[in-house]
Amino acid sequence: MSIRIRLAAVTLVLAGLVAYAACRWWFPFRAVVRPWRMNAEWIAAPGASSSSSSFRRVVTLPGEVRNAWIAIAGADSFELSVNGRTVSSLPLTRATLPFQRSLSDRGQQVRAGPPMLPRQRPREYQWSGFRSWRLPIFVDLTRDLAPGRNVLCIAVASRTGSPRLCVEGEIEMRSGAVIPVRSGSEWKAAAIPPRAGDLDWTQTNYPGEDWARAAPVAPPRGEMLRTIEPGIFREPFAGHWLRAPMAAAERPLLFETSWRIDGRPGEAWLRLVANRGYDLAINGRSVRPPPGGAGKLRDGVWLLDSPDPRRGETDEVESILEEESGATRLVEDDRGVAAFDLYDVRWLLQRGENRIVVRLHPTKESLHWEPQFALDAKAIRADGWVDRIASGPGWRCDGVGSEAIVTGAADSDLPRKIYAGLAWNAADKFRSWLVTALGVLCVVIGAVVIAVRRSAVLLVPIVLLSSAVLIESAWVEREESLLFLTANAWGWILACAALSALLGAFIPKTELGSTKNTILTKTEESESEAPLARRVSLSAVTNPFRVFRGPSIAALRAQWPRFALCWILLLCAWLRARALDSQPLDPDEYASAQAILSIARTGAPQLFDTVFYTRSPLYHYLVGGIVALFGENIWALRLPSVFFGVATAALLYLFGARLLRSRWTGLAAAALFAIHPFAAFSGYLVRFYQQQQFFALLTVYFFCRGFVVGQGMRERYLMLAAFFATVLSQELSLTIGFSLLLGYVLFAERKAWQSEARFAVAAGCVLVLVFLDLVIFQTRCLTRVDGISPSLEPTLTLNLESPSNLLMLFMVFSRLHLALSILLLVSLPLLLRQRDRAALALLAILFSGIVVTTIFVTGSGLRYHYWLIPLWLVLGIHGVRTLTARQPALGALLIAAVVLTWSPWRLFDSFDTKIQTDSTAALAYVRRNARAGDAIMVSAPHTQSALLEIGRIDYDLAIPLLHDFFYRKDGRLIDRNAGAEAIRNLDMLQEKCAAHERLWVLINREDLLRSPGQDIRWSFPGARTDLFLRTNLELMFRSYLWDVFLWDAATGRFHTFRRAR
Amino acid sequence: MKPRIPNPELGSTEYTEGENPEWVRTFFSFRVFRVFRGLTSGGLPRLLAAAGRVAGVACLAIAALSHWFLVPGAIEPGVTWIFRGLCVAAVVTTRFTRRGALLLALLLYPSAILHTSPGVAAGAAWLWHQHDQLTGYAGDIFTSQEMRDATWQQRIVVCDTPIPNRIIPLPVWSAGSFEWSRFFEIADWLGFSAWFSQCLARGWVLAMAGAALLFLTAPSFGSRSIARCLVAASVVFALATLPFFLCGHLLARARDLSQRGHLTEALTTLDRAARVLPAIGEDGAFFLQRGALENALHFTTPAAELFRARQLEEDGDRQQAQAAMLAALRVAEPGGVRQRELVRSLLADAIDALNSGQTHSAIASLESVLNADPCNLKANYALQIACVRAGRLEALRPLAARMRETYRFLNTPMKRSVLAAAHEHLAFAELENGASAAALAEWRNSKRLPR
Repeated sequence: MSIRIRLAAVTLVLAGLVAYAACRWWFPFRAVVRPWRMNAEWIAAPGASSSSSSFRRVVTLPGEVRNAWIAIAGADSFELSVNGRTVSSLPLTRATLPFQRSLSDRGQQVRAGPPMLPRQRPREYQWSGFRSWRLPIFVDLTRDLAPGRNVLCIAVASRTGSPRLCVEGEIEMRSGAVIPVRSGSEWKAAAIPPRAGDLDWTQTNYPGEDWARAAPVAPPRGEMLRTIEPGIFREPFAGHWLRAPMAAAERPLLFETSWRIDGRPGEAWLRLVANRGYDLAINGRSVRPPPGGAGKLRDGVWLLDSPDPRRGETDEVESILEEESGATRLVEDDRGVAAFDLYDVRWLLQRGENRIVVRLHPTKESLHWEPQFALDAKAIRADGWVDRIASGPGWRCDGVGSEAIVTGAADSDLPRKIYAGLAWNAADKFRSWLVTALGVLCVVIGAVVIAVRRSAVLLVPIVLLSSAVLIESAWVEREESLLFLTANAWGWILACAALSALLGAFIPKTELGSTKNTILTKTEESESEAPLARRVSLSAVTNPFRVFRGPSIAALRAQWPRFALCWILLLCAWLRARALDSQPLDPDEYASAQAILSIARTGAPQLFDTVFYTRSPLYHYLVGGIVALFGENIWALRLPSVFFGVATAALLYLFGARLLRSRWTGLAAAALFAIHPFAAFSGYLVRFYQQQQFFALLTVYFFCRGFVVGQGMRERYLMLAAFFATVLSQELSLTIGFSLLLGYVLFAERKAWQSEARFAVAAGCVLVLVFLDLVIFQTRCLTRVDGISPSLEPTLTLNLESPSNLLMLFMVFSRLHLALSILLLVSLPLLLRQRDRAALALLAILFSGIVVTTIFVTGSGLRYHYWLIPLWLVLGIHGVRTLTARQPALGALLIAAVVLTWSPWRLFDSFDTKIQTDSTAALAYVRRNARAGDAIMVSAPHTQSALLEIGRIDYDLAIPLLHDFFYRKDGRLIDRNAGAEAIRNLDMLQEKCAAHERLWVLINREDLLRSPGQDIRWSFPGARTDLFLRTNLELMFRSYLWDVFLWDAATGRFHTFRRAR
Repeated sequence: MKPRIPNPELGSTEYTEGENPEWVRTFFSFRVFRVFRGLTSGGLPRLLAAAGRVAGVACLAIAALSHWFLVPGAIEPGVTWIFRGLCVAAVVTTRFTRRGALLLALLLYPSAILHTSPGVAAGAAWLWHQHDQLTGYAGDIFTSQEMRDATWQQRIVVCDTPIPNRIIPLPVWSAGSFEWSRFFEIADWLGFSAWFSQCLARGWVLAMAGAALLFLTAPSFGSRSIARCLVAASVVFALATLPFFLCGHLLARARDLSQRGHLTEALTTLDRAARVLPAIGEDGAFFLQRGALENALHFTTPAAELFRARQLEEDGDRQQAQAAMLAALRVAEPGGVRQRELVRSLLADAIDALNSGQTHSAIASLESVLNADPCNLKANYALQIACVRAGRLEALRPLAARMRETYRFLNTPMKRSVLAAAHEHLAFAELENGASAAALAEWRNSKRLPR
């Protein structure tokens, strides 16, 4: 019975996986990416590398434009302005945010859903950025170009210091002439656009002739792709305006036609322009138009919180349009006025006759033009044959029972084309997938019957397909997801799975070691009972050196784990130290560096004046000692973290080898830790997180040795020491004590009362010392604030601010942990069933650690869960090992899949990428160019950075003012780290400009102003300051997300702030 | 050394009672004293476990006597009494699985509030929205940081106008469009959201702590029992999401029907959706959608009236809209969705007036808002600024006191920044009145607010 149930379960799982793969392959119902090549060369600004470049091209048009479009690929971002107006943009974002997240043309996003772990500013990983240029963005320019002089401006920013641009487009004149727009030598480029009076470089009359010509450069590595058929922008609109005879504005109007397509379309699009709201339906399925804006009551469409109803599911509206032309309309709708919407309708069209219906909404407005619309569409069949349709003669107007009136070609004064995205129908998807699933189930049942007869291994295809699903799920928010959006990706995966099943069926048993009914018996039989050949093959997997019998490698066999561990530790060290000196420091690192340098010089962690940075004394004094020994350099500051990272990897091996009794588990956990992108990033920062993680892990290790798998008093005292070190490395680690207490109650064995008493006294002493540390922190590190701001420093307080943080570790940003967490979840019942004390203790500490960290530490940062990542890792690997105890090769396959979900190639590509905002380069520029007497202002909280890099800082631009970082002295509000005077509003900034001949202002665009592009975001504080800086000061330098402005009164341009003439 | 036997679940050692005297065995044979049984023989771990059990019992006992979920102006949800009863029952049970069940049941408390007292949940969400708008990154406290100490509030703009109140994300996606990123949305559906955590009182926290302590220190604690509890929890939580999917289906159907023009059926379907998931009946956007439907059907209902008033507002007939809303506000049920939506509209109007320099008009509107909704933090804050500008300094102290009282119900530590602003307003009032010592005291108070 058990065997039959197991067989049924395996069959169902396999059928489900195969069905999913088949459905994704045959009926994806989502964007499909196809290879594409732009017919243009890549260009860059001549000169030294920089983080941004500005490209400019003047186009003089002899007449009116009929159609103009452009496709832009900017490495790594772009912002297109036409005649001074921003048209399209893809800002540079963190690699841990979803791919194309801030793209202005939302319809062209390959995925519009929310991120799994939504955070405005997620922590960075040691990852290279997205290659967003692989999917060029199409932009319609018809509306933006005018006869005469036009200027196309594209700003490109890069995290690698090599901003590049590739552009292809066309301007088709009404005369028939075509002006190609391609990136090339006719484009001018500059790293920093020079000022020309009050003119912005994007304006038409800006004198950009002096700029150097853009230089051709090699294209970036990778293939270009597209999700939309270029013709949708490239081809001039072919529709004619249609009106109804005797149209009345207050009545809905219905237009209808039929379109014959003699083959299944491979690609299809439809363009519709209307002068009022409309409903569009193809074959009874409505194509949802773009929303008119959330909260607009007059929208008749139900807007119940659907974030982007343009894309995705449409309603099945069988005959809704014709039967209800006279039905009561919910409300009159002006929503679609002047809309020109483009849809991908491939999944709504069918072979044969297709019925297209357009209903124009009624309106109460009396000044409207008569209701009219125009439409054209194109379908490209698999054989390349093209079918087209356009509004024109032959359309019926059923609302009034006659043929629609054609009023002329719709080829002028059209609104800007907006690509709305792919339209599909949920019911169609359900039907297609259901039929496919049923078919697949039949096939799989047959295959299972054959497989059982032929003793095939069905677990291999299951693991292969599961791995593919895990990888796809984990990659959804990344550029890598494009791989699964190609037309045949799932076909290849299915083929691999089928091939693996066939190999299992046809390879002779002696080679594969299969036995009868492998899937049924493998988990039952013991290794000793398995055939010899299989034992050999399994042994080869579990220990490859065991297959060699020669005496010459006997020593190697004995030592192989150590060799492997050495290589892993070397890899771990190399990944952390490789870019150690090229990555800029973040403000927190500068704060720690300030305390460390002070300790090295004076023995006290003094920041400024009477302010001391007494938190994390163990870390700061340890690194301070190293700096005192080896000098004040970045290596001495960052290498201790690297050392602790390597030590953590080594400790993870001990967890596997000694606590969980599997060297493979230890090695795999150490290897995964080595390439973990968040650990690799945190593993070289001048912060205490890595040291805290190491000591926390050491605490858990000694806890398990002293209370779980052994009961030695020595380990118990060592645990106390390690716990003390953890708390001194990061005071918030005090929460670990709750987990240890729980573990003690659950797992500790009785000792003599004297021993217990001694241990309790020692623990009490540790707690007293910790209390002293906290008291010193409270009295010497904090200053009396001048006010209270809504910004909160993390602290130890019972809270339940974000219950969702309880799940954060299992997902983290960009779904990094998703795959291994799923495997851990699946293996959890087995782990509990095994009753392995060490595994249970680690599970208890992991889950209780998550709970206590979440409810006792305010703030929602992943960094506070950082100490738990190694535990999660080793338990995840242990879970995989438990799941595949008899099939270690499959376990290796699953772990390989987990590695793939981490995109390790991005780790190796990241060394030339600026991971964090590059304050170091901006400050270095000012250090080189500042004269004696110049004043320096930097945006908060970077005064300590300026103090260390430049040696002085005068002003701290803090908008909004966060009082936690300031205190009042001598009547002035100054910052705690460097004593810089707080500049907290525009008035004060203007005063300082007036008071100094030259004033350098360094702005972190991510922290302060929040307007990365040309358009200022007025909803954020500091917007007015941003405008003032842009219009009155000169931009001198740019590094990644940093701007350096100079106020120079001697130039004579800005003598007054009164702008009115 | 007393004899030891291995724990069948954890594989650890478990201690027998040994040869205790008869009276000791009799003492421990009573169920309520069993928690102390290991004291005599188990060593420090058992002592701590026993202490944990005692603490757990104490927590549950205090929880049974404490408030669990408090929203200003609303009584505690009736379902709380059931959970209090569960706590009492848990004290007298020793079975591990029952304690696990208690823990599981307590986790369903927010969901129970959502289903049985949606009005209370809506009140909590409404309060949280107001606070969030004051302290969010583009909120009023943040945006006024530049100005408040430089120009004494004169140039502060109350920038954010209130958004529709929402307790949970409306279930508008189908199972076919499920993806992992919806996971947190489902957590919101189960009530683990800001409205719950912010208005949470001591009772639930203590009950959870007590249940967790009893669960973890249970003598029969073991992995198999945990596995059973995990399976039960998964099933229960999966079942708890069913109403949301059903409601989502009904909403989609109502949308289809309304698009086809079958408005009556659409309205009926909406009612069914609200019956399946009462929380959406308290949703502001849902109420307005309902108003749109009822208006099209020429009904004279509160929702339709509000919808018509909003249309008047959109058409530019602001005075007429405001008069209609004020009239409706007088008869609106306190704490109901209608009142919240009316208050929202009037508050937005008052904020516009304040930012336009029409201070006295703004004061009148804000006072009418506060009369209807006395705990409205946003209106309170805006009125304080308006009073500072208009020189009505005597009104500031009662407003600050009311704000302080309202904030007692919110757990967020960020409330300190809003309360500090209220104290600064008071300091300004005292300074204007010539009481410099009192002004200094208020100024100091603004920085000494407890966390």
